[in-house]
Amino acid sequence: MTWTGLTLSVGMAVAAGLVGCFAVMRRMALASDAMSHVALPGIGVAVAFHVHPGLGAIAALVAGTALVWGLQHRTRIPTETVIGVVFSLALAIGSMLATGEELVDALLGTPGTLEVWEVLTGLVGVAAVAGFVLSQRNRLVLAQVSIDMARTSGISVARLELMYLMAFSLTVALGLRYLGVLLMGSLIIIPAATAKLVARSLDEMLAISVGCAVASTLAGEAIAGRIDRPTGPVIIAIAAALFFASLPLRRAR
Amino acid sequence: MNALREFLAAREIWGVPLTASVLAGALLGALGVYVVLRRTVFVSAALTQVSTLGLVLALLVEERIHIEAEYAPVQLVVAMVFSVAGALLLGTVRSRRLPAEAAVGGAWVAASALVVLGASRLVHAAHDLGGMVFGNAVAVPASDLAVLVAVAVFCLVVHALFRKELAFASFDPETARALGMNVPLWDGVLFLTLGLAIPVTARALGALPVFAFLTLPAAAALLARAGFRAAFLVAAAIGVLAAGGGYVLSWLWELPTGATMVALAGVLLLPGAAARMRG
Amino acid sequence: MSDGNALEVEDLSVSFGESRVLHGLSFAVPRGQALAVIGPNGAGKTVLFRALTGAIPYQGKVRWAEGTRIGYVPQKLDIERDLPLTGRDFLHAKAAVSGARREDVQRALDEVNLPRRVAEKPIGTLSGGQFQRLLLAFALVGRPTVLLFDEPTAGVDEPGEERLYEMIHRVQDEDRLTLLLISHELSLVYRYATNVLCLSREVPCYGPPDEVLTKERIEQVYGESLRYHHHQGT
Repeated sequence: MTWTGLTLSVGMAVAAGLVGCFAVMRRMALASDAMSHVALPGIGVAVAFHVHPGLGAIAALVAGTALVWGLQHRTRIPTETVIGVVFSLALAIGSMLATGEELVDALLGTPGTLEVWEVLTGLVGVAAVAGFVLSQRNRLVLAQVSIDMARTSGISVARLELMYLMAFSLTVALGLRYLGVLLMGSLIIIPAATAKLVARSLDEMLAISVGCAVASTLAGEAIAGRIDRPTGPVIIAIAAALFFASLPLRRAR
Repeated sequence: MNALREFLAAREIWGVPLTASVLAGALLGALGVYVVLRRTVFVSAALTQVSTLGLVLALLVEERIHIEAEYAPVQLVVAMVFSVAGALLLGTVRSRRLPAEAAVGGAWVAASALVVLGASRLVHAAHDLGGMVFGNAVAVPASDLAVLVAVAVFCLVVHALFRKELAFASFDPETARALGMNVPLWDGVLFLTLGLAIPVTARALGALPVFAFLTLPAAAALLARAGFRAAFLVAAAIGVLAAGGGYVLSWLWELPTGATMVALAGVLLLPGAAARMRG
Repeated sequence: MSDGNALEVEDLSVSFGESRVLHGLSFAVPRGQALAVIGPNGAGKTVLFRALTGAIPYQGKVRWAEGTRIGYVPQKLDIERDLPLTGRDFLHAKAAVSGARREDVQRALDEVNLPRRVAEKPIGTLSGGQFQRLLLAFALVGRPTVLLFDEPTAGVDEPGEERLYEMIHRVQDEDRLTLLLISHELSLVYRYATNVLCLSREVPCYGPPDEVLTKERIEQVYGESLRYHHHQGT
């Protein structure tokens, strides 16, 4: 793993930790995991047209989240149903467009070496996500507690929601190459869930979540090579271990 | 029309799988109404993964102890045991929302990860993850169809006999409890039928199409503003159409079967969605 | 819009699909007064508030006075018990978003008598009464001119209800706020409201409490006979 690659994976962990806090708070943990699979058809299309899979993934994620957001707002179908629908269709279309091997690669991730421009674009993405979450964290939390109260406090709730979903998609896209569709969702959810157990304030939660995500990533990198296993699952295993280790430390109610 | 004629001529090959697919579509479509209305869409997702996990484990064991023949019924039974256990556990945890979501999420993540890990250890070419997950409707042994029919009949009987109790427990549990109904029992019955249906239909359709069929037809029926009773019939009909039509189309156009069925189910969702968006 | 009014409503109607919840409602609320909205469940009280704040579409006219700042406290908040957010975080978030100053947060906490150690606890662990006071503080950060309070005493025990109403009344008096209040507590409504608006399917009515809250009217509105709750020794 080169320095550039390492920087990007740390960046991806930071973004995942930040975005994950709000996914976990809004009880959208499962939905978030499912939504990350929406990248699949995008990757399939991209590969078919010999375009960089990352671009296909981003396009599919953006389109998918915009679709979910739009459907939620226009119809009154519950969120998880909308996501279930989009998720199933995305997988179906993805499996039609991509061959078995490409699918597996997309599902599991293909670390390999990265070009410099990929790293730079990735870092810009990380900066955008981090900037958004940190600057909007108060609004996000208020909208979380009560949409009505947030609205009367002057927050444009629908737009905030859309931007959050976009930040989420971008985060998933950042990690796809590295962790793959199946596991990226877990990196977003698990460190945030750990933070939620022990944090006593919002800023603490954000910090702990980022800390766990970065620690899992770095440790995963270091260990995976030693025991000759793919990096992605090791990172997730470490993150999960941190979660279980924190259970006894749970804040007393 | 040549392709169609060829298709009809090959009746012997697709007779069983098509019947299985159509039956699966109907069963899942109808059960899906409860899944969608009770907002347990993700529970069904987790269950499809758990069921697949059961199957993978059964296959791993078979390989390890060097069983050459495919004990399809045994595999199915293991998958069913996993699925029913998972269904009863996840489906009846209703008391507090947070632990329920954590349980479902944990089951989903754990099952998915274990499926991937386990499947990578499977040696036989025939045991491919893609087929289990995305559907491999082409090869369905007659024994699987028999089990599917049995489960479908069982579910039909249970749901027909106890539809009032099941509906009451699902949608107004407080009143039901106040009237002395054993709500956890009825929740258990509902999820038992779900837990049985998932693995048997997954043999024909694959795990992901099963999830899709538990979501899409019911969503389409509810979007079309079907009343509660009608929704079951409409969803079942859509399931039949999508599964059967998808099977035929996948054969004619040489597309993956499961994906085509899901895509067709998605298409059948459009009219209802469009109507709702205008309103 | 006449000068003395904080709010004027003309011919307000709200429908969801086929069913009409509010039908051609018209009323005005003068500045500094307290309007109580009563009615059975499903009569549209919360819907009215949501229409007034622009959360849902409606037909008719809703006119707020110039420079109105609304403090809204909704009825049901589904807070997870272990959400890692302290009361103080919650109020600071509001301050950051509405451009209020940090002092306003402490001032709001003082106005509702929430001591420091309670404000530092995660909001999911507060008792019913403490939580309602926190919500009131939230509404007060940002210096509202109008308070919309939906069932302020949900989840609060009886003695707490009286104290909470007294507190709301005091705050309203001190800050010269206009108050709109949805409530089931008729005896408290009687004591604190300037006017009462009753929403029910057949008989909407409006007027001062002693005119509106007669036994006959209440039976008409709620469809059954209700007894007033007379507190011991009050």
